[in-house]
Amino acid sequence: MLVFNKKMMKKITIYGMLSILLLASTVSCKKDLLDRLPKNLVSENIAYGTISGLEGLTVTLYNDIQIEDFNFTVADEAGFPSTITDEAVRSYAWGSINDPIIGTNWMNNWNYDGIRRVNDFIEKVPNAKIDAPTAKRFLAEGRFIRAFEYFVLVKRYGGVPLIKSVQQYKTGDDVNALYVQRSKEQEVYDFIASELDAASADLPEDYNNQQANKYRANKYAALALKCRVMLYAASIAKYGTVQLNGLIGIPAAMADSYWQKAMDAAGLIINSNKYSLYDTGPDKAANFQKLFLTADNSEAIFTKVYQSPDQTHSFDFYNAPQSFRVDYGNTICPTLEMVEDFEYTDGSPGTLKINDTNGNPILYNKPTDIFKNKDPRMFGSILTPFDSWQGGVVEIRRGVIDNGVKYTSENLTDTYGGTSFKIVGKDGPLTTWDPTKTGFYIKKFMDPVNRVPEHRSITPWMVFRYGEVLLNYAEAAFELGNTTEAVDAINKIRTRAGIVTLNTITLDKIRHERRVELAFENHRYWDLRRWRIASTVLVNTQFHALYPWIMWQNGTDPSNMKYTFERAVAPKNTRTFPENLIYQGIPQQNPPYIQNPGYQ
Amino acid sequence: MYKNYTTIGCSHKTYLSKFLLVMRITAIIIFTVVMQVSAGSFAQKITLTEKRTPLIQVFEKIRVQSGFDFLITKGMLKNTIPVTITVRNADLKDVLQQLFKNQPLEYEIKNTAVVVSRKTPSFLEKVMNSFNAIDIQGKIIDENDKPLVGATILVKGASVSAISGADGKFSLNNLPNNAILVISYIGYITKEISLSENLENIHLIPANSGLNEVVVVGYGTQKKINVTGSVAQVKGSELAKSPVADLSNSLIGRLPGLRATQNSGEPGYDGSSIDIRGFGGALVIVDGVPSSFSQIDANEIETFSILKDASAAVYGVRAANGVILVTTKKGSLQRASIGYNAYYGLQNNATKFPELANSALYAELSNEAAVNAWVKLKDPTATLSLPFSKETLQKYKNGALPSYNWYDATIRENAPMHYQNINVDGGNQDVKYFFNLGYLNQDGMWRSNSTQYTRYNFRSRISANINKHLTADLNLSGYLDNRQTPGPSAGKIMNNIKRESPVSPIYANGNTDYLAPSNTNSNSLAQTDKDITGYNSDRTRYFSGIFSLTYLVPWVDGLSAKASYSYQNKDENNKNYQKKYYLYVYNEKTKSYDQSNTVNDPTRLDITDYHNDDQLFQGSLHYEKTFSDKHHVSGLLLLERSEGKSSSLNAYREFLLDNLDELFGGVSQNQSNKGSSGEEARQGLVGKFNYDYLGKYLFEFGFRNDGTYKFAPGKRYGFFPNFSAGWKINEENFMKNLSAVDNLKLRVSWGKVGDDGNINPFQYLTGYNYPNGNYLFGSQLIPGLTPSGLTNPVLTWFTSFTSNAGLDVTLWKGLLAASIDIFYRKRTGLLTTRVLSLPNTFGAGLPQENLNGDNTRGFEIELTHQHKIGSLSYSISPNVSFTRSKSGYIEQSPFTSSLNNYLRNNMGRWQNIGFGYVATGQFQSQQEINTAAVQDAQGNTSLLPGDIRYQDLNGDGIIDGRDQTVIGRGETPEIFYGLNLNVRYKGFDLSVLLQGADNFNRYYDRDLQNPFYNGANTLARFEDRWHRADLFDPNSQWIPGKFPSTITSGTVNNGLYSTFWLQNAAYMRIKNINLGYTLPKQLLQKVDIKNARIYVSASNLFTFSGNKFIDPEAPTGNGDFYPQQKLWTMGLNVSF
Repeated sequence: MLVFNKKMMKKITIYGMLSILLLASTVSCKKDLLDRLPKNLVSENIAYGTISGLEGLTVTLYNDIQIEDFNFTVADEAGFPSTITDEAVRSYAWGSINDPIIGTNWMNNWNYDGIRRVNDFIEKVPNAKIDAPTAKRFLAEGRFIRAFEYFVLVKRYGGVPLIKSVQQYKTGDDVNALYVQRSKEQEVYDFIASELDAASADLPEDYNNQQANKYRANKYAALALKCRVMLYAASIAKYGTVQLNGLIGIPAAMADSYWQKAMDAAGLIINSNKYSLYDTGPDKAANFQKLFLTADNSEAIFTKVYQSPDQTHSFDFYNAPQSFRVDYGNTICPTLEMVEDFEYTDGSPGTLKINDTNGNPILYNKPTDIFKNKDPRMFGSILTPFDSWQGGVVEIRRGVIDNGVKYTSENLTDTYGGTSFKIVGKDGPLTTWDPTKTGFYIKKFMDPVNRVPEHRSITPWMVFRYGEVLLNYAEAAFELGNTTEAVDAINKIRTRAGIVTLNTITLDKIRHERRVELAFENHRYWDLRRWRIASTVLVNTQFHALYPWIMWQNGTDPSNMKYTFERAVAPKNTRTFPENLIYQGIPQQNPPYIQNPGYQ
Repeated sequence: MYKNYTTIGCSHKTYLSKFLLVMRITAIIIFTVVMQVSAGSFAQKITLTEKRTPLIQVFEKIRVQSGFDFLITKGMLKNTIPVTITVRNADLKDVLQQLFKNQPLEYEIKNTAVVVSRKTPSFLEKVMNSFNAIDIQGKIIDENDKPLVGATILVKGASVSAISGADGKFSLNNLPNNAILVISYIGYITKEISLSENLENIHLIPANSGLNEVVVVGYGTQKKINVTGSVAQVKGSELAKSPVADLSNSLIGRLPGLRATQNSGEPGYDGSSIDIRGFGGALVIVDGVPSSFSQIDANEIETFSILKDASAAVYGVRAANGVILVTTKKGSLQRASIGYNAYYGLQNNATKFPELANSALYAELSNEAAVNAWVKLKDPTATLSLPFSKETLQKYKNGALPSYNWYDATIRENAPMHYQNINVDGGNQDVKYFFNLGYLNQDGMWRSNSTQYTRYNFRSRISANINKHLTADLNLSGYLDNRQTPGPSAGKIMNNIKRESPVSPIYANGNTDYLAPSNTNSNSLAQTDKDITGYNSDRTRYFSGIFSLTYLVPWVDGLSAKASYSYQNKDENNKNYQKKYYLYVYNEKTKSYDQSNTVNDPTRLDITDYHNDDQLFQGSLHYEKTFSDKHHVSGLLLLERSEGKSSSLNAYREFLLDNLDELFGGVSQNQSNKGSSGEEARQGLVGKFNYDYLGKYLFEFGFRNDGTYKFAPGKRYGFFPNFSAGWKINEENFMKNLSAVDNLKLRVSWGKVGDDGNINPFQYLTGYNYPNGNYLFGSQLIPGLTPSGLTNPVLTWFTSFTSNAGLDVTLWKGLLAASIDIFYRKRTGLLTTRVLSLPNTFGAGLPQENLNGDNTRGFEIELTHQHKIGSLSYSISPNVSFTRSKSGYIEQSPFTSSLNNYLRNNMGRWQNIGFGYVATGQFQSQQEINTAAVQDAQGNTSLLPGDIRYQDLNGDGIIDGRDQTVIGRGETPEIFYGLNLNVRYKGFDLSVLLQGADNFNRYYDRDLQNPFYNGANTLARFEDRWHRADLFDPNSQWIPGKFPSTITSGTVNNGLYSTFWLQNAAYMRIKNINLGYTLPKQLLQKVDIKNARIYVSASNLFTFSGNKFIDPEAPTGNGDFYPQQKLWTMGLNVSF
């Protein structure tokens, strides 16, 4: 043991204590102990000083655009725009999206945050430390995005405040100085058009020489947007009324100039010969189905693509048929009305043949026979009873008819009589719970091979496709009286679809073609609005379901039994589009904006 | 056998000694008489001029002048009065007379000696006593027969005292045989004992009155009697009585003001959510270091205390919600003893879980739902088709067709749990040590036994006196725990079990090798089995080391310095393995089992490692001293700095091969890895000053100047002061005569505390957040850069002002004690964003600001009664606490209608209220429906008899949102109460803990409210419903019941948030009963066992509640939770 004398010991302990105290106050005192930085914050020098920084910034800007893709939900989880139109109902019993009146707030999207970010980008890009041609392209992209953002706003709210530069504010500043009045609806449309003109002038024709940029917006994306925007402006001018001194509505006299601009923009795309309708073979149904599964196709003008696991969506997860689902599933149930809107290939109306001419139910040897000769696009868009799917069959049966008595169930597990035969098909329909409420599921966009779990879908979303451009062209041309151009464009669509072409054209036929060609692509809701027919199409509208019933024969293998069909009321609320929803209500504040009609 | 007289300047020492030695009583009597006579003959002259001179000095002067010796014991000088005297050449006799006047002494002159004695008893008795004086030895033990080291033994009325040694033993010499010993020890009831009683085992009883208890307070300890703040404390030994895995579950009901709600019974995840006075999550300090306590082994804990009021302010910016202080055991001054504790228990599920329908009821209600759906169509042409024919229904009813009970198939009656603990406790004057090792294993309720919680705890504390002044302490502890559950969460499994249809078989064709798909397509049995569905495992390794040095500064009495350093490391590994499995249907044609469902496809593994490092340094100076016996002061200055670093690493893989749960077995498709990292720092200067005058008037002032890394420079530091004062009224003269009152103390406190807990750091910085979102421009995913938005450079913590007033009373030596506290806390600066001040086209939200406020008030009452009747001693202590909060200022936009204002304007409104509809019963007939206010927006056409009827509050004939009102409270109980009962009789001990909560509601919706909700099964309780006399005849007569008639998924009408479904969740529980028996000593000594106790215990034994169908603590929602468990245990405590 070491021997210290007492004095030494005392000294040691005192100095020990003091040095520890000293250490406490000096340790890490080279800087303030409390000076910490978050690890995920990048400075402006880096953001605007490099190409990669600018790419990172444009990522946010592209994501800011509400392109209404698979991730666009309405009102509730897995609520899609097609489930609030006359295209489909939602299977689930829960959620406000089942309300009989479409909510006026479901489509709200007051995204001035995105506009602030894109304005900031447009202001800063010219001073970015990169080469001028690239800066010019980034700037054009920024203007395309800003135009898109304003289109998202104007189609919802009518005239909105036009903010074209970043507003500054420090605590204590006069907030009233930042207040901007709503512009007229026409001014917003005109601003979008002029921005798109500028953008399309500076955007490249394509990015073919730059594989890394091929899904950026090019010149034709800007033109396709312009074509759609002008179509909307023209419809509103023609079918709407000017109210609130032009804050909503466009003078009817302007209609033709907008139709013309829409037609011109579409014409530039068509005449560029860069794009064509996707047509890969004689199986028209398979062709149409494949169109929505491949990003690199001749028809895609501007596409959002996905990559697993980091940039995905869950459309398959939400919409898989009951027995093919991972969880959830079933959401979009196409209505019987939608199914019947697909014509027969000979051009005759698509009403299904349930009863014979005497009113007696037709017995089908095979349940799929009832869909014989329907428009191939229907088979590319909708899963019908006993369609084959992912190596199996979508078994849709409401129940058993035995000796004229109907047996059904609200459970997929209940069996018939003493057999192990399930009363209801493994995919429904039921009137409750999750499985289909109409007897149909969606096929468009759905992976036909694999069950896709949540956040694993990578089906691309075509924001603009050539098919839509042709339909826009046809509509604008027809409205301008150019029926020849209109019928030509429509027939291109019908030829690719695999149904008989038209000799004559009407507005109804153009709109009908648009409904079936663009089904579930989130156009219908906006078309109903801009044509100002939403509240006549959807007014206490009861949708219907198709119930297949199996005709029970004791001792026969069920696969040999016949089927009959019933047109039933889909067990869902009726649907009404409230009149005031032609425009959304403006999110209010102080001082208030002039509010749209019906929101006081 | 003699008394040692002290003589003053004695010249006759040997003589006197001898004299006293040889004398016999009789002889002394004679001698005394002689002396008294002869004393008169002396006439010495004395001259004195004294002013307030101690008596003994005067005696010395007289001795010098007169030559007379004074015989006196030191003890006699106690309470003598200093002398003021002026005499010149006075007679010794006269001088002595004058001197002894007013003194508690008398004297005799014997020869040349003045023999001084106490006034009474008389000199004779005194002398006699002195010859009866005896030596004694004794031993002091505690309630567990453990030696009490350091107890004080005083002889009543004398100045003799002793301190018990390491083995609890003490000795005293020369005591009069009628002496009374007064034995006191901190935390125990002071005991008086006569020498005739058994001194070999002097039992001290813990002072539950707590008067002498030492409580742990902020940065130190204090005698409870001197505490001026609002503090509650419970001993670790009390907590160890309830054998629970998670310590948070043994606290409820024990500490007034501490509120706990247990929402789950799942092993490893069953901890209660705890708060103090309803303030929100409290700061937890373990042995002086911010940490957590729920995984600590109860046998490591010495005390558990909570700072409820502003006394928490010394913990600064994190202490606004009160502080929980956990102190672990140190070694005690005794020969090493080894303790062994073990228990084995069965968790008996569940306290209460709703019973599910069997197949007969399922079929019956399914048919009823079909009939009701048909009736509602109001279309006579529609065909009515039923899921079950009359014959099938009958078969389910008479058992010809089976009913599958999924609950019983997946959940077992009893799940075992066991615990073992070994500890070593001991020490001498120089080194003290405590070692503890604990092991716990808790199984879950799944039959598959896939849920398991295991934990190893260790602690090692050594305290060594390096020299007279320097002490070093080392406190090492840690735990290793592992929570393993099946892949799907317990909530998801319970949801699934509720959905499973009782007509749907568990196995395909009854073959247990092939699980059937069931109506959920996932089969609950598969979901509960980790071998089928995969697992989730959560392993935590935690280590803590605290090293400290304490230095008693030798040249300043009462000053000490302390430095301590703490390091905490927590590594958590979360592994989620979801395994692909198949479900089968039996194909009768081919006699084969066909795969019908593939679940969890593909197999995947998600691993996350979390790593946390925390360091804390404290340097402090502490001073404590009493001046002039009256002024007791103590002070503390402390500097604290802490730094924390955290990071995480996550990796994800999918698999082709299904049974390899390691990352390297995965495929490259969809693989991903992520990480995060962050750091934080804080520092504070703490001061604390106490002053008391005569232990009567108590004052405390504390402060903390605290800084946090979260805010901008200049906004980081805050000054948080607190004041408190106490007045021990019973120490006042006017109370002194009231012998019944042992303690009567009034306390008040006020302080300001900060709270940076829920505030995101760095809100003052601008830049671009990265990465934020992705986009694919080509083949490579580009991460996004997003501007961070507007900043708030002046953002700071919430400020909380807490006031508290309390009264402590102890009567009749602890027979009855009461403690009452009332408090009020006001908070300002709660974060919110300003509304509407920027135009909504600005495009960036305003940053958070310190704008909102709230306030909370309440009271706590704790009563204690303890008594001993013969061998039976008992104590009973009920407590109740009440808390209610009100919103203060709320930044909100003005309400456009008075209705909205009523429904949504919470400014100044009580919190914990619920709005909804008032149900006024059920419609008894169609006529009643036809004439009632319209409540379905369809002219009441959708309603059926038995549906819920609502009150039309505004009388407009329509039931809608405007008819909502406050229909009950929220889900936070406002009242918590508990009752602790302890009984001890000979070797037996019994403790009972009752606990309850009141003033809260729970609301259970979805499948607990609507039969067949979204394809689920239904609850058995829905049998009692409105239904038709003939199920198959829509026109037959209605028979009333408790619930509406069956509609699949219910109707909007019946599903409105109303009083019909609102549950009054008030409950009272027998939380724990513990009955123990301590084996007799004699028996144990033979096998060298010091102490042995066996016990049986039951937790959550009975619950009394108005809510009969589900546990009252079940969280509001749809019953997707792992139910709380009953627990039966038997255990053993032994020490060697």
